[in-house]
Amino acid sequence: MGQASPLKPVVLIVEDEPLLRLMAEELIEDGGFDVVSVPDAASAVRILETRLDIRIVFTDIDMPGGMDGIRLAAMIRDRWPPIEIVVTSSHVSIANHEMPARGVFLSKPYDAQQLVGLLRSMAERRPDVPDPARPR
Amino acid sequence: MPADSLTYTRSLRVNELRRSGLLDRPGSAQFGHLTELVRSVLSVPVAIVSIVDETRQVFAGHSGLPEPWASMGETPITHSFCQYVVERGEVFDVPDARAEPLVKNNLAIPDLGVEAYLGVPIHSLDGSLIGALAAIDTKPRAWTAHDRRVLEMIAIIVDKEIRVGSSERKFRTLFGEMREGFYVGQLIRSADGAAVDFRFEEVNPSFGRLTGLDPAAATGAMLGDVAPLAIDELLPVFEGVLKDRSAVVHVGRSTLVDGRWFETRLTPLDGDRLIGFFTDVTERRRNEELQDVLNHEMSHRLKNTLMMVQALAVQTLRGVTERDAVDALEKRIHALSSAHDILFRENWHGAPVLAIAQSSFGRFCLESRVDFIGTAFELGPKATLSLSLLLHELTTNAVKYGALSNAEGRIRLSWSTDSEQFYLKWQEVGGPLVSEPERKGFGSRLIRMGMGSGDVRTEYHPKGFVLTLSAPLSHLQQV
Repeated sequence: MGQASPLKPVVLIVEDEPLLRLMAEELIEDGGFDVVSVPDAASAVRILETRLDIRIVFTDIDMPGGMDGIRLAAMIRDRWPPIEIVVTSSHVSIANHEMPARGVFLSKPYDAQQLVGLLRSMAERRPDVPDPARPR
Repeated sequence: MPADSLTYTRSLRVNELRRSGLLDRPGSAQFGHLTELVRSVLSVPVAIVSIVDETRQVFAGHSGLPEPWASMGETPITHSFCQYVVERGEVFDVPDARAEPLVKNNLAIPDLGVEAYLGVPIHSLDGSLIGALAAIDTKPRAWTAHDRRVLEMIAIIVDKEIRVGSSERKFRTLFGEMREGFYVGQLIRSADGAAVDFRFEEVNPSFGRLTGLDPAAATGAMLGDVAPLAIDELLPVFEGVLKDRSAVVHVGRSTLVDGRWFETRLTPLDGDRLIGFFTDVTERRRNEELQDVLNHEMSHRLKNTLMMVQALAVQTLRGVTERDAVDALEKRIHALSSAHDILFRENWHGAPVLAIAQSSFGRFCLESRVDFIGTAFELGPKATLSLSLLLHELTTNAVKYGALSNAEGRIRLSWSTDSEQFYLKWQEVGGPLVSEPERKGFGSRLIRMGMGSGDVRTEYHPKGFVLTLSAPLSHLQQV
C-alpha cells in the first residue's frame, strides 16, 4: 500500500468480501489505476485522512461494522468533496436520495468494462469543487 | 281440511313469516298508505293488511280501526276474518257477517264492528299465501265485481312491496351480520366542484368494530370530523371512483386503529354517492412484507453468488490469452443476473417478454436501436432465463458482426402467440453484409437451442440476420 505513482489516478476499494476485493483490485489495476483496498468503512476513513492522492472511492454498500457504504459515501461527499464515488451492491436498486452528488451506482455483479470505463471518465473530470480540507 | 294438517300448514307459514321479518314489527303501518287508498276508493270505514299467525293476526297496515286494536296493531285469531282467506286460498266475500256461517260467531263482529268483509290474498316473497288485504264495512254491503277488482289490484301492489321489503330486510340482515365493514356515503364538493369531505349516510356494525367508531355517531357524520387524518388519502380515491364510474380496490393504513391495514372495495352509486366494503388485511400484509423481505434476501444472495462466480472466473482465467472468451463468460453471467433481477421484480412468477427484451438491450445501452413489436405476454421463470440468454447472445453477435456493429442498423424484435405456440422473430436491418460464420462456438449453440423446445431457424440473409423461433406455450409458462 505504498504511495502510488504520480501518473496514475488512485482508486480506494472498500469491500469486505476478500474474493471480490481481489477481483476489483485486479480489474481496476488492469484498467490503468493504482489501487488501495480496505475491508470496511472505518479503514477507508483512516486511509482518506492520511492520504491525499485518492481520486475515486469504489465502495460496497453492505459491509459489517458501524458504517455501510451509503454512509461512507455521504461522509466522503461532506469531508472530501472532490473525490468521485462509485457504490455497488447486490441489492436491486438504491433510492436516488441515498446517493451522494455525482455518485454512481453499479449493480452487482458489475461489468468489468463498464466499471473501468466509468472510473476512467471520472478520473478525467476536473475536480470543480474547491476542497478546503486539502489545498493543493 | 283436517285440523292437524291445518295446524301444520300454519306453523310452516308462521316460520316463513318470521324469516321474512314481516312479523318483527307488530302494528307497523308500512302498508298504511295502501289501506288508506282502499278506504277512499271503496268508500269503506276500515281497511287492513293482515298477516295471519297461528294465534293472532298482525296488521302490516291499517286505516280506520277502532281502539284498542289500532294501537295494538293486532288481534287474537278469534277476531280474524282474514284467516279464512288464507285457509281457503281465495277471495273471501262476506256481504253480511251475521248471515255467513263461517264467521257469524266471530268476535270481530261485536268487538270491531265488522258487518261486511271483502278480503283478497296477499303473498310472501316466495309466493306463499300469508294474509289478506281487506275492506271492512260497519254495515252490510253487497260487494261488486268492481270492488273486488280494485282490491285485487291493490293486493298486487302489497305483494310487490312485500317482495321489495323482504329483500331489503335480507340485505339489512346481511350487512348487519357480515364481518366486512360497510358504508354508503356521499362526496361533498365545494362550489367549484373540488372534493372537500365525505358524509357517511349509513354504516354497519362491523364498520364500528373495525374502525373503533360508534356506528350511530358515524351515521350522518363527516369523514373530516370522525377521521380527519384519513381525508387526504381517501378523498382523491373517492373522486377517482366517481369520475371513472368503476369499482376500485384501495389498500390503506388506518389512521384510527393503530397500524391496521384495510382493503376497501369502492363502488360508485348514483351522483356523488358510493359504497365501501372493507376488511382488515393487516395479517395478509404482514405476510406479504415478510415474503418481500425473503425475496429481497434471496435475490441479494443470488446476485452475490453470481458476483463470486464472476470473481472466481476472472481470477482463474487471468492467464488466459484469449480475452474474448473470458469476456463472453463474464457477460453471460451478467445476462443471467439481470434475468434474475426481472424475475425478482415480478416476485419470481415470471416476466413479460417486453421487460425481458428491454432489460437485455438496456445492458448494452442499445434500446434505441430496437423496435419492440408484440403483445403483452408473460413467460414463466425458466423461459425468462432462456430468453434472456438467447437475446444476450443475439445482441452480442449483432454488436460484433451485425446490425448493431455500425451506427445505423436496427433490430426489429417481434413476438406473438396463438392458442398453442409462442413465436418470436429477430430481424436485423441496415447492418453490413452478413454471411454464415464458419466456426460455430458455444454462442451459436445457445442460439440454436432457442427457448429449449420448439423450432429455431436462423437465416443469414445478405441484408441482415434473421432468427425465427416457435415454442409451445405449455412449455414457456412452466415454473
